[in-house]
Amino acid sequence: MNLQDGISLSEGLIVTVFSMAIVFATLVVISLILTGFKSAFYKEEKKEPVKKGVLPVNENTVVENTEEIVDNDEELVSVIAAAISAATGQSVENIYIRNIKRVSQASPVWAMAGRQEGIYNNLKGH
Amino acid sequence: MDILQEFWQSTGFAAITYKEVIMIGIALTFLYLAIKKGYEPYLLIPIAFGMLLVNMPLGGLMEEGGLLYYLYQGTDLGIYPPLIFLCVGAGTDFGPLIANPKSILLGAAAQFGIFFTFIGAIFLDKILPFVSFSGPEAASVAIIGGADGPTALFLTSRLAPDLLGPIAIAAYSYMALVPIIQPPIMRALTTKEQRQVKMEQLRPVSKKEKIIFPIIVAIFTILLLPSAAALIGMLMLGNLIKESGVVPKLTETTQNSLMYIVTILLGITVGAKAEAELFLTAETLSIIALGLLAFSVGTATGVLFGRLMYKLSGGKINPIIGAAGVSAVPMASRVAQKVGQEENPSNFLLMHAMGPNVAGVIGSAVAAGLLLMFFA
Repeated sequence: MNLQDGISLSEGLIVTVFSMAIVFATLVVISLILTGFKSAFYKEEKKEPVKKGVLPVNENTVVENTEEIVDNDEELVSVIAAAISAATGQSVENIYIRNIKRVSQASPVWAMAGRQEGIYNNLKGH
Repeated sequence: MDILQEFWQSTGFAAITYKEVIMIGIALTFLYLAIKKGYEPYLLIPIAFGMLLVNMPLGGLMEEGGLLYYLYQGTDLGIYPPLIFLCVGAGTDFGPLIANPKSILLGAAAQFGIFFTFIGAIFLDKILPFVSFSGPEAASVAIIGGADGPTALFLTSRLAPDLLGPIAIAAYSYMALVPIIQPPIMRALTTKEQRQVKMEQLRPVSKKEKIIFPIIVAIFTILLLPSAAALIGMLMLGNLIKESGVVPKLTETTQNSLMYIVTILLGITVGAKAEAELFLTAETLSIIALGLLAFSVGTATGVLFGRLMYKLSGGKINPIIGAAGVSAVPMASRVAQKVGQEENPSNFLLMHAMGPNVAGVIGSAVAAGLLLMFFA
């Protein structure tokens, strides 16, 4: 097919059908190769039964009612959600909290004290 | 007095034509859009400035011996676009594609926009007396539908260098307008229920798979379609550099310095192809119109194919990720994510859309290879 000089609609259609078929065929083959990848390289991890988390309880305190801890958690969640909402300007309904992890204390006590003082001064200013 | 007159004759002020004034006006508008409005500034600033420079009369920057003439050789000989692909490869994560191979087909479906426009350009050539597109020109215009700047420039520089200016500007404009063009098409072609579909989490992909993927794709695709070797080869090399993990300095260089260097050179020389005589023609207007058509049809066929996959998968695939099958990485994925989240705030489609999105890059490079095979 000599397409250099000019091209008719029917030649254009032939090019289109042929090219789309090749594009699809190429990507289908790549897709099949990748499906092969899955069986060759990927072993589905056995789902371990989820262990029920035991709440860390300080040995010195006696917790009489575990409900209280859960209640406290919800309170914590709502406080964090409100803080995120205030900082980002998003409505609380749009914030999804999936997980809250306590980060272990990394900065020294004096730094914390300084930060708290800064926050306090800021609040006083308003 | 003679000296004054002679001096006046040698200035650009005396030589400037009204067409050049218009082109300078267009260049200034692009600069405004890039700097003030932030539309693709990384590309638009060099393109617009190249356009400005080349339309200064008597500068001769694009004539043999001029600076831009030499820099333009990198575009003309098809060197810069594959280099950009090298950098794009180094910045692309094929993980979502490897995890969900079916999503590749969405990247294929969206390429229909290219061929629809190809037919459209030939059709315009037949019915409109003031528009004329030869086969290679029609192919170059159509590639705008691939929504992939480097691919469009590569193909056009090989097939129809005269159209490089308008095609680059049309391609990059539509890529910048993805968030405006795509959402209405996505909404028109899907139901609310379909847009709300949440997709299953993707499986984790191992490093080994990510390393083997570019090698296998390069071997297979280039054997099948040698004319796509420059683009696919560079894309996969860039990706291998990144995924191998043993050459962090090369990854860093390709993702940053090299990318920016080539972008400047490519931008300024593409802009320099927008000379008044070549740019202000009926063809340019039809290229702009056909480019939009190409882009919209590509989005639509991606979404429609998404609907088909939604049906076949029993409602597990959200059809709007099909819109990301046109390349425009990662903008098209972000748009799919945004539209999905508007319908269902807990919907996270970004990673799922990245699959068709990067498949779109491979798909449009394959399409370019085919057009090159037919018309070069």
